[in-house]
Amino acid sequence: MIVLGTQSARYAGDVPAFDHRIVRLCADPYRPMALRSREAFLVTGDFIPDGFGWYIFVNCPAKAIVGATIELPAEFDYLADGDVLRLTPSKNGLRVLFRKNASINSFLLTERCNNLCLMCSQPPRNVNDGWIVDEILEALPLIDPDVQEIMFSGGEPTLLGERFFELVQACKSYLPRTALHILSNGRSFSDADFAAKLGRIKHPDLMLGIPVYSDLSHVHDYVVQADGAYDETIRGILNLRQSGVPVEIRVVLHKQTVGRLPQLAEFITRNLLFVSHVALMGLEMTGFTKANLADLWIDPADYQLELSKAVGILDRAKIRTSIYNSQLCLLDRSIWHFAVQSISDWKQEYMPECNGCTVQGRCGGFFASAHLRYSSHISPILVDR
Amino acid sequence: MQSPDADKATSFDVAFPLAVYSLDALKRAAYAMMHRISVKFDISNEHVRCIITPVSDKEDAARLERDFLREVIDHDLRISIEAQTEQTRTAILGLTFSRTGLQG
Amino acid sequence: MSRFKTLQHYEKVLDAGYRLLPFRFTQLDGDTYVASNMAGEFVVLDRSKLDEFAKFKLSPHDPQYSELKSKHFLLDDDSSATIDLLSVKLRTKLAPLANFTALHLFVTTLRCDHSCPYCQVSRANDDRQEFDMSQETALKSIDLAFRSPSPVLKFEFQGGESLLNLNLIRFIIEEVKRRNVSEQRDLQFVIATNLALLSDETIELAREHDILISTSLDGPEELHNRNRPRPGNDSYQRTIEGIHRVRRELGRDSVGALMTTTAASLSQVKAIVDEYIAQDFRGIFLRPLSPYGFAIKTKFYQAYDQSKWLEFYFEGLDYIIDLNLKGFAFTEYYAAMVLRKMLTPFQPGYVDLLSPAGVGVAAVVYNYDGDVYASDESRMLAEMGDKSFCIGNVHSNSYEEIFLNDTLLEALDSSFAASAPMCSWCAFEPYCGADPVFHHATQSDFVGKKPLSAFCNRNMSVFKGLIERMNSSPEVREMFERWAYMS
Repeated sequence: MIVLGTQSARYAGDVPAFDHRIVRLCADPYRPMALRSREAFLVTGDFIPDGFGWYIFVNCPAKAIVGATIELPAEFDYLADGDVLRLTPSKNGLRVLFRKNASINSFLLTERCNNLCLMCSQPPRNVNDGWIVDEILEALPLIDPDVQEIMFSGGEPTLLGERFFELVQACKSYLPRTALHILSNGRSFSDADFAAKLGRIKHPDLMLGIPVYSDLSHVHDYVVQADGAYDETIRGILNLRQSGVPVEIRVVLHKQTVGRLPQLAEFITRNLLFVSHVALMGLEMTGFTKANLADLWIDPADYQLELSKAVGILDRAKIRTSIYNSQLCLLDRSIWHFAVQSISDWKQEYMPECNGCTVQGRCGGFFASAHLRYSSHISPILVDR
Repeated sequence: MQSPDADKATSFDVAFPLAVYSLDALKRAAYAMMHRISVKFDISNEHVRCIITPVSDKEDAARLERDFLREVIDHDLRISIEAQTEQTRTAILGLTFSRTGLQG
Repeated sequence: MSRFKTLQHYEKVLDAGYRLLPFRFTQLDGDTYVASNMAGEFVVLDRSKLDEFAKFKLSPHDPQYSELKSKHFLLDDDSSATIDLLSVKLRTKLAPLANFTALHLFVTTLRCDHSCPYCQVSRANDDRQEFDMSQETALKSIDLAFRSPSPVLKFEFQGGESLLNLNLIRFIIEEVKRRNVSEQRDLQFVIATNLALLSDETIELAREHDILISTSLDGPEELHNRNRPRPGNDSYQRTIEGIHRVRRELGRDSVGALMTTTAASLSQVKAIVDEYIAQDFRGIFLRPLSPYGFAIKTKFYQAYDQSKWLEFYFEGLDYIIDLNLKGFAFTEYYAAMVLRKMLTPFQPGYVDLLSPAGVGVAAVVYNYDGDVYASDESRMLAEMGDKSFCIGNVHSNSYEEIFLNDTLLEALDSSFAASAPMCSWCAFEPYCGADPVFHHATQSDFVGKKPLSAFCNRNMSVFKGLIERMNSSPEVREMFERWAYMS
């Protein structure tokens, strides 16, 4: 597990008086002098270059030098050049907002949401968290423009209204070469003008990841716990297409969604053939899933028939399809090539039943949370044919 | 195409109460089966008497009657569905042609 | 108390009843029926279930209820998304219409070295120019072709034997490409040829301009040569050599073959398919043929009626299905085209199965003498003495006069299937077409009485046959899906 934030950062020295500051972390001793005062330097050796605004010492005492110093515990040894930090001296706080080496950089835009999915991994809170947007807007210009992709999620990002567009525009302005993947329930886009507004930004590499849980409106509404959600989501997807914004359909696989998975696949091929991608995702044991486990849990081994059928239907219709968070030993061999190693390497775990498996390197493994409940059919693949 | 040899084949009658079957359904059924039968209609207040003449004498009259009855019932149902869904159909067509999509 | 509501809470909307969405139904076999919606999606159901459904008696717990809801036959909530989806799907099917004429067929000459009995149009192979298209005619025809708004323009050269006027083909291609510098359309070129006279020059031209070759292969040698006589009786040999040469020099996918079904073919469909397999083709187009074309020239007509063709077709299709099930990927292209209409949102541009009719709208023929025909069938009809579907001449008529020709407009309008009797209530209408030329020739009426129409009979049999096969076997269903989505 990577620890991203702490309230035990020790600030010392010439600490300017501010509530918080967003800074870029630098490990390059030859950084141009003109940039140093607004950046933090990661001290790794003996050489400490002049002129930086802050000096960060991980798991060692801060040296007495000109300027401000910050001591961090050992868990922060992953910090690297290009990371973006939020410094909160008054609370001894430090938080990593962006890690250059992360396989996925995800920004939570708000905890508010207008759905209440049975399996929500980020249970909504109705709070005024507009400060998050300000923070991200400050951080975006500091992020390396060569980063491949960033993700926006929540809650429901589009509840931010105008500020949502501000964020997307900022991504286009500061990170024009970076793919932007936004997770949304799509409902706000049932307003055609809202969708058109997003389209007008003309972000060069944008994709909206939108869940559709059933071909039947009442089942989808049940899973997301909102009357009329399906209707708005579908109309939202159509409006996004009309406005030239690429859409990906996401489906979480659990007891309420797998029964009609082939029918959902067929529905997508008949009604939403234009989508860029379909992601079929194994259930994560976090958030609301635990509370609703009785209604959600099905051993993945028990839905493999439906999964294979659904993948086949989508594939024959030439829709790009991926399977996330599913272990290879459970999948039919014929659909292995759809499985994506989607769990970040630092989060990836394996179970005792995996011992001796020859394809661990290719398999996505498990989330740590899977220890709560996982398939009884996990077994090592002994011969990789 | 064989031409109907109406004089040789024997006609038969089927009566349909107008309370149950619409005249339109009967006409459509007759049209649909024109390659096998020709139909004359004798219309009264409450009934329509269909005088059915097979086109060829090779077909069994009982079979023709069964098939004609099936056609009538099917068309009756179609007419009812068409009436009920006419508005929705118009709404869908209106939407289909309304946006700029078709114009490019 | 859980903050989460139960499935039962969300299912309440089902108990409030449902409304019908527009749909049509047709008998498949006995008490099994097919129902289709406006977008052409279909379900198979029993007549009694259909009745229950149509009379609002179908229970939400019936498994077919979910199918009918999912496939947009019923509405049980106050959702407008379903209506939006149906209109989007319908728009997708109709959108290609706005692009208008994409296929432009140029008859470069009527001269031919073959004398196939089923051909209407060829003349003797001599050097006389009177049956060749002139450059002037070609230029006028090209003018008209570029008047079409279609972003894709496909130029196909036919004859006679089109290669006998190779110089003109080169002239046309060069002129088209010159004009396209400013027009910026997506161009495709096809030469229809018997390959008997394939020359280095032709190969070079094809290579230079990415021209696709379309040839005729009627079946095994004996059948092919019988159907397609030429001096020396070596049509088959020349065709095969030509196919292999084109593949070697221009690429595997640069040559396609079509077969013409004659009375002699009817008993040999497996041998014909085997021939195509032996010649490394990845599929075959078991093309239907309008029997009226036979009637005058060959007197095959008596032997050649639709039921025999249907037997031929399904024997071939079943043979091909079997090959696929045993692991050999081979496509029947006519089925693939129909399945594309049945299983996908797309509309293939196959001229003979479109409604509104494909005549003029999807394709147009510029004859060697400048006469413009609404379709290839229209040209054949003219050769039999009926010039109804000659819609003008490139030298004397403007674009508007040609494409707004009274006969053409009337034919398009009156034959439109959605308003024709029988078609307007037929479940298969979304997959079918209007063929005013056929009906004019056989019934002297653009619409035709469909119960008497061989076109209708044949199409319905094909639709039913395809549905029956995919409904009874998941493997066949999967195979058909693959065929339908092939581009």
